[in-house]
Amino acid sequence: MNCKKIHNLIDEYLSGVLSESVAFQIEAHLDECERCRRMVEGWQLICESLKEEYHRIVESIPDQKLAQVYARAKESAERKKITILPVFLPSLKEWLRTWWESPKISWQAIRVVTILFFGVLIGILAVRNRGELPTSASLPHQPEVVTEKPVVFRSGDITSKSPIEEVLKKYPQPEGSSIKIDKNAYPETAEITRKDSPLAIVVAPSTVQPVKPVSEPETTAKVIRETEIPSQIPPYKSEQEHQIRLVAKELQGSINNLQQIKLQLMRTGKAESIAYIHNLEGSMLRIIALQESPQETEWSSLSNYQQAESALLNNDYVTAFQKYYSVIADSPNSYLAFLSHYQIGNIQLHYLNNYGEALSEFQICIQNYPESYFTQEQRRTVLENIALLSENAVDNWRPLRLYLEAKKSSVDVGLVLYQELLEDYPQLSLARKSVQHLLQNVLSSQYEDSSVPNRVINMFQEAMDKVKDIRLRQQLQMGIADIMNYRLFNRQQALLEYSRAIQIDPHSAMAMAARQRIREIYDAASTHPFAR
Amino acid sequence: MRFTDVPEELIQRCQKGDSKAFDELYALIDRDLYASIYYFLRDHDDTEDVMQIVLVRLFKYIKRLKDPGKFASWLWRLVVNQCISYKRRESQSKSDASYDDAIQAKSKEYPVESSNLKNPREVLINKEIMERILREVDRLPKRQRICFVLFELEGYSLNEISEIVGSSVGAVKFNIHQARQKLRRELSDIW
Repeated sequence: MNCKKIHNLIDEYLSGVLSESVAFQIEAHLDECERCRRMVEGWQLICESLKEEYHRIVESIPDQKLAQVYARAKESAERKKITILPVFLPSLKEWLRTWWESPKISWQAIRVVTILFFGVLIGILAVRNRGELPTSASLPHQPEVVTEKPVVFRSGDITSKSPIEEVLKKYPQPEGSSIKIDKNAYPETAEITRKDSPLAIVVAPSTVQPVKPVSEPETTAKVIRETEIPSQIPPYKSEQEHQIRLVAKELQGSINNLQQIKLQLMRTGKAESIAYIHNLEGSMLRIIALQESPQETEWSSLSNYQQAESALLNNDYVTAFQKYYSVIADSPNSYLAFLSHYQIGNIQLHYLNNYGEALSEFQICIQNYPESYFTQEQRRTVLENIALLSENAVDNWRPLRLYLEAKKSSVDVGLVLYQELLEDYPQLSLARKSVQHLLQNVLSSQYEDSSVPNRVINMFQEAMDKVKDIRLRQQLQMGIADIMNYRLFNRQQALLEYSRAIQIDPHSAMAMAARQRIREIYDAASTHPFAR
Repeated sequence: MRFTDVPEELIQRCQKGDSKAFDELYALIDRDLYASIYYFLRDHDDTEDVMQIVLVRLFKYIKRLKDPGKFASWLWRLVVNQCISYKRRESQSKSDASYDDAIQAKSKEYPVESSNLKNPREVLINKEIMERILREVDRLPKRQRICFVLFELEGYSLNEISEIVGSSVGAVKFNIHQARQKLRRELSDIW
């Protein structure tokens, strides 16, 4: 036996499960091999020392501690209502068992009776529960098929009458009910219209043939009773119309959200989702159109409008315009015509840059169509657009072109375009808008180039030399100060610039804002840890 | 007294709800119960907590024990399960490092007097080696440690351990083998 074998068998050896001969061989090896002996001794040492440790723990525990733990456990058991009381449940179980297994005949009889009693009880309960299923009143739209007790009759009973008449005899109808028998149907049926329950259909047994007796002695018939015939829908009342109009308005509002989602999807390019939303939007629009202007809307316009929208989705402006104009031609006063004008205006303004056409379309929207066609959002956009377009209708809409171009272009080109706009058209609201836009971008660190804030300041200063308009000058001065304050953190220079802005027009709202900023700077300075 | 030595008659009295029988039972097993829990947790405070839980469960469920002869393995199962769930709860709240420190600190609470040692080889086992052995046993995975302790120190058979731990005999055997291998490998420099 070698060391490797010993290693494999050591566990069994120590557990004492090996046969004597093997154990003897191992012991013989251990006598010779120093290494293996030491290992076995070491292992025994470990086990013994662990046992000793265990005993030491057992002996070292204070009695007091053990008593405390026991007391606490009892207390906690009482709190949890675990009563250490005699249990009667096992004894009851035992008693029941002996009773059940008792061989006496009288006991057996009682057992049978008990089982029968419980069986009948359960049966009755089950039947009663079936009766308490939801009734026709609780489920008005689900016609309940009532399977009444099947009518059983023998085919010999049928003499001259047809099966359906035979069946009907079993169901005497109240007076005033009309019975319509359809003998051509197979199986034959009878419709019974009654005063209390509107309709009952009696179906004759299909297997019964009156002429020759059938081999089957018994047949069944079922009565299927329809619960309620839906009463006729009453004509719309004014309240309902009002409600429908409200819902239509809501739909109109949610179309805006849908369009937003569509735009977002267009950016991420989920073609399938776009198509779904587009279809949904189209159907909603058509429903609204029918609600808003049912008289004015031609049927063809509905599909034309949808086709136009689809073409727009594929950037096919030519087809879109054709379809829109055919909608306008077919049903000029309809809601869809209004929408067509609105869409054409938007396309002309945002995509084709034909500002003149856009303006006229928006004006048509406002002048020709009732206010109820607009959503709030649409009305606001249309009015804003008209204002913007008519104000900037100078030099073939050059200021507008400059502004939109500057918004789209890179920093370098944008700054030049903005400067041009500021210097050439300082009187326009667009100039103030562009200052605002530029300032917003600089303050929110939109531009990565770190030289941009300084360049914007330079541009503002150059523009201030040329601009005469006080409001714009003040705004430019405020812009310079804000950039100094919030972007370059040059507080002292910012203080100077703010005071300059106040000097331009000390009584304006902007001067108030400037004073507020100055105060903020002073407050921050006084609470600063290095402030003296 | 070991759990296996508890008389069946006493268990039956406990099952009938005799509160005196509980007192007697506790008087018999208190030290062993404490030691067996302490063996897994190595912390006196924790041991007291778990012992309390185990006792409450003992009160509550002893009626369900069908065969009073199997009381020992039943109680062990209770102890093992409670220790494992206690450790799991604790490991969720404590980080391992602080847990080790706590063991170091708390194991010194009840000083063990060296005069208790009566084995002739005690001279060889100085305190450091003892501590190392304990640490290695502590470091064994839960199941391996439980199987190892029950087999080597409590002297339970593989069948009994498989009942206590709730796994197959083969798995118990494997766990014990693994534990031995690991201990032998880690402590090989002692001999």
